[in-house]
Amino acid sequence: MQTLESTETEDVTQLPGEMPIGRSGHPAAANLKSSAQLLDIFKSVNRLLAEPGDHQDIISAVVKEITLLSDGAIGHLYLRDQSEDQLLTSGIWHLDERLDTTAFQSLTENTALERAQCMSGNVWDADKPIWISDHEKELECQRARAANDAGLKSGFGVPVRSSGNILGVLEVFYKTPREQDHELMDCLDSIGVQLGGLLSEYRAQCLTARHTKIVDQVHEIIALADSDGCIFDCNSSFLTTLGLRKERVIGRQARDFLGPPPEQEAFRNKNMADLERDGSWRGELTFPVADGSLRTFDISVVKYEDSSMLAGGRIIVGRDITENLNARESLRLNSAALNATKSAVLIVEALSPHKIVFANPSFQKMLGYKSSELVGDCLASLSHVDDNQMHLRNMLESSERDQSYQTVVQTKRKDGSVFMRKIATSPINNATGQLTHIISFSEDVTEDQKRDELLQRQATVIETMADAVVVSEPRGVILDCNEAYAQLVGIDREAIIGTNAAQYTSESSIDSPQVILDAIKSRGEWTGEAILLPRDGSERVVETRLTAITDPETKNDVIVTVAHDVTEQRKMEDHLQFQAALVKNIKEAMLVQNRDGIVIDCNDAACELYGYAREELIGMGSRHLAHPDFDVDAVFENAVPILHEHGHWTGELEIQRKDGVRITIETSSTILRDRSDKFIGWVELNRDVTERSRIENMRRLQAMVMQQLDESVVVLNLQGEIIECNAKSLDIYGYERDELIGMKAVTMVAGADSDEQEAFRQLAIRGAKDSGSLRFTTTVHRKDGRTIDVEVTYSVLRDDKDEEFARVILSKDVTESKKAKQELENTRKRLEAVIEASGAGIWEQGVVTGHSYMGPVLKDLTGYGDSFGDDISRWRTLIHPDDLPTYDARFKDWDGRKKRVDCEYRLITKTGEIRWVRSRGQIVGNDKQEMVWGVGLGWDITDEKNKDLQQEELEKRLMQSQKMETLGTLAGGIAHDFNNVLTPILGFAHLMKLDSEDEPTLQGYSEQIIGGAERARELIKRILTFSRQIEPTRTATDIYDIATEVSSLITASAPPQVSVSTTRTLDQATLAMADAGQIHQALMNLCTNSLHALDQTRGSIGIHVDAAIISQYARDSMNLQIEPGRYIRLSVEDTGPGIDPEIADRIFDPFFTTKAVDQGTGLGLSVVHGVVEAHGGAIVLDKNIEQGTRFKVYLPACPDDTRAIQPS
Amino acid sequence: MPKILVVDDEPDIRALLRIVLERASFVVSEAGDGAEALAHCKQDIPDVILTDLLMPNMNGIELLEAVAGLGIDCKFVVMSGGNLGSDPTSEIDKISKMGVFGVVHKPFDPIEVLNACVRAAANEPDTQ
Repeated sequence: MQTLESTETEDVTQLPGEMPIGRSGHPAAANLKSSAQLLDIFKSVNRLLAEPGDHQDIISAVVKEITLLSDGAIGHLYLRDQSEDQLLTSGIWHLDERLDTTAFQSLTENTALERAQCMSGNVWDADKPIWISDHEKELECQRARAANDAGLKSGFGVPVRSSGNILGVLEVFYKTPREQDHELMDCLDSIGVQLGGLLSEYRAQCLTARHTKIVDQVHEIIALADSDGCIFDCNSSFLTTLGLRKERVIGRQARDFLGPPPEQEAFRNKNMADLERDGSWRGELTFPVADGSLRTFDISVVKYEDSSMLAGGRIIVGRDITENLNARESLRLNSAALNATKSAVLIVEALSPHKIVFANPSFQKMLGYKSSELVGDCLASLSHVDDNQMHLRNMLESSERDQSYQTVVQTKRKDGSVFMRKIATSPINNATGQLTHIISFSEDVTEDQKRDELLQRQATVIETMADAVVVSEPRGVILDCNEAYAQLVGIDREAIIGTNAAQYTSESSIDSPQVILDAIKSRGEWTGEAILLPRDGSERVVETRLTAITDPETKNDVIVTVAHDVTEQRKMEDHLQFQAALVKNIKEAMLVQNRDGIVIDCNDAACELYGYAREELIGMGSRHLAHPDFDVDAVFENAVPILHEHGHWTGELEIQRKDGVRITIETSSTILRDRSDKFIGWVELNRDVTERSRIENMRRLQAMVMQQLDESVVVLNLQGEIIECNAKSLDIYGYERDELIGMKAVTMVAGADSDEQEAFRQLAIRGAKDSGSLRFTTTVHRKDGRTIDVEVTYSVLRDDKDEEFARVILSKDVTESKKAKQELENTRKRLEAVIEASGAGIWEQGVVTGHSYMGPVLKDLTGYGDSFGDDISRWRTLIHPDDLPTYDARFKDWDGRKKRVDCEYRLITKTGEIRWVRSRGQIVGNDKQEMVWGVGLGWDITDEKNKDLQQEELEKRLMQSQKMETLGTLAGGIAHDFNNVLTPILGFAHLMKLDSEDEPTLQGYSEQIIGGAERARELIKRILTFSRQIEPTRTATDIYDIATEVSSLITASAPPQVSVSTTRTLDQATLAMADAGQIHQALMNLCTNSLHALDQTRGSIGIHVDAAIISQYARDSMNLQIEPGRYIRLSVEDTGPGIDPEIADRIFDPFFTTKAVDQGTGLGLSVVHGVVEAHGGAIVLDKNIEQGTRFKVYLPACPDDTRAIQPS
Repeated sequence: MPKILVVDDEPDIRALLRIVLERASFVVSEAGDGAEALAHCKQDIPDVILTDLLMPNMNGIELLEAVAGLGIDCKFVVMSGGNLGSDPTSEIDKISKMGVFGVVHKPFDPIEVLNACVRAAANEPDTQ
């Protein structure tokens, strides 16, 4: 807010925007009030103040006077509201009628001013007058703006004071801007004080008036009395209560109103002393009031000192508490009731948190909490006692809807015990209908609930029980019945009620109603059997019990009838009796066993069968009764499932009677089931079948034996018809059993042919008549037409009286055995033939018995033939002495088991010839591991032995041949490499010779190299020859020609004491397919060797050529490795020392020599050997020569040579 | 100038033959074995091939077959070391059938080889 410059004045002439000019500078006489004027104001105001009259009028007049005297247009008085500490309008205005100040007034009246707000607020705040020269400058203040709008351009405010307190502000407004008038302000400041005094008085007056009004308004009766108790004033309530006018009250003693004089006196005597002493008294007084009724008042009498009253006075205040007392009494009674009631009561506040305001003792007792633990607490703190809290919410919601609520909850007491609590709640509303509290009544209904449940259960039991229950009047009218009864009589329950029970009962079956009633009266009940007549026309027998009870509601006697339907039971009992009679009389031993197999009942026959008394038998189990050797479990294992499946089982058991006798029983078991089809046991009917069983077993055994027989058995009746047969019969004769039974035996044996049948009759039947039994072999016809050989035994069976009663035919198929016999014979013959063909002879020697046998082959071998005899010991004498140990070892080291004998030895025959014998056989022993018997074969193996020797020779040759080939390959390889080495030597030597024609010395050297190389070449050639690396070029060559050629060469080089001759067999072919050169060399080598062998000594070398045919035999005997055929034989022999047999095998080996190291290459005979082999011929050293050496060379003859060839 | 290919695994023998053949105005090439010779033939076809029989890698017979197989037209003179294996006769027959101009046996007189080669180059079969 803009600061009000209270000290400044404003010139009305001053133009807007010009600086205001201070008071001192503007002696504006027109604005100044004269002292007289001011004095008028004082006078006028003082006059007004002095005038008697209503304070408000005076103040209004003062306001008007001041306004007018200040030349103001409008005056107004603000009053300070001390309680609110703000300025409020007093409503006292002086208004210029010409101005429209409605809005300004309205604003003023509706707005209280705070301290320092607007002009008047500032006056209050500053506690001195304030002048506003121009409202245009104060427009920020709402009131100033309103004043300006109303045409009030300037004004001032003066404080109204009393005893230094600002009581209000007097305002005056001008229609034009006006400068401050200091004198006026000072004057009015003083007047403000005067006005304050008036205002103060006015206020006191107002207060008194208000108090009086209040006193008149209150319900209490108030009276003012002097010290003597004389009433001098009272309020309206006093008058209306007592029904008196004020005139009748004033001046009277207060106690006069207390009723009759004795009571007044009593009060005065009793209480006045207290008043005097304490200065006050309070008590309840009852006295009659306007309508004559007595009412009780709460009276207070207070002494007070009043400056206006010399003796002081009394203020009597009375409040009619009659209603309160009534209410209090009512409350007291209610409380007592609440506290006394067994109903547990709890009151809670309706508003959350629902504080508990009351809990009666019953409630405390019911829950076990003290009041102090409950009251003041929230309802929520109790919530844990109940099993569910739903009811709390329901209770609150119901109460809010102004409804009651009821429920039953399970509640836990403080001690933890639990009970059923029925809670009923109601809302409590106050006078205005607002919900303030909720009251709940709790009841322990545990017992009730139990009872209800019990009743419910009983009702259910009655309803569901099988027995019929009827409640009727004593005369029989049915009041109620259960479903069982309705069903029993076959009528709907609703239809039964109200009818008489007698109509459902057969009168003849029951005592008369009077007898029944008498019985009930005397004994409390009547029991008996009655026959009910249901609607379907049947009859039901019921066991009935009638009792009388008193209906708790109607107090009438009623009859309760309980009827039990025993119709079926009676039937069953009849039936059982019948059955019992039956059981007693049956011959079979009957056992009734429970599901565990324990006997629970039996009849006399059973006791007799098992040998036990009935008491002993009952309680025994099947296992006890079974014979110890009998596997009763196995039987049961089989029987029980059958029993369960079919309800019945029949079989045999072995049991042991009490006396130890074992018997066989046939048992027939029937399963027992109860109504729910549950297995409860079984009934056995047993019969002693020991004897029957024995016979059956025997018969079965016989039948089995018969079936097992490997012989056909057929039994015939006297008519010759087959009445029994065994399996073998079917097998042998090829019929089905059905076909055989009833067939004539002759048909079975002899087929359909009547002649044969007759023959059989003759043979068998007649034959057996006399002797009783006949055995023969015959051929019979099977059903399939095949014939078989059968050995038949036909017997006639006679009984004790020698009467013929049956016949038996035993037959055995001997077809196979006949065949087998034949087979055996054949085998024997075959074996003999084989042995004969093998050339072996049989020998047999009984070691223990000394018996021996020699086959003809062996006997022939000895050369003695049959005359040798069978004595095998003689054989030993012929054995070569060297071989005797071998022979004797045959039977040595016999270990008790079969042992093969195999040995070879030489035998010296009758002619002295040595024959090799091989003996093979086996030794057979006995149980004592003794050698009992030897048997075997002996062969002459001389030829084989010889052949073996030849074979050995052959192998030796073969080895030689392989050795030669290996050496040849080796030598050939060396020769090849040598040729490679020689080639450059020889080649370059030739070149050197060519290039050194002018140098004879060098030429000579070259020739020496060439010569040496060529000798080497020759040597290699020879190696290649024996190693067959050089293939002969074979043409028809006359060997004899070569022989003579060589002969002449050798002769030339041989010393004179050696003669060389060449011969041939005349007219024999000597042409061979041969390489002449190689043969020439071979022969040269042979002759050279002979020459060397003679070694300058006298001797001769002979060469002979002839032809020979080499047969297979000759080849084998001479061990020649050539094909059989025609050969030219070239023989070279000398008379030298011969070849040492020791080295005979090695002479053809290459490099083998007997000569000194430098005298031979050792290749001579190797080359010969190589050449001959390469020709497909052979060379042998003739060992049959007594002195010297002879080689024979066989070369394949030329096939074209037709000249005779001598067979070798 | 006739071209000649000398095939032998012995360098000494090749050296000897080179001297002899070059004196007779042959243009001489050498090969250490049949495989090498065959490779040479594929590059430069000689008029005459003078070959040993027994050589490593590819022997003389195989060389003959391989050259014939390639359709190369050249004459063969064969040198034999004497060892032709288990059946020399059949080998010799085989060689003859393959159009061999001559067979010389080691060790030989060089003149003998030269004559055979000259005849081969002049396509004059040995009438002996």
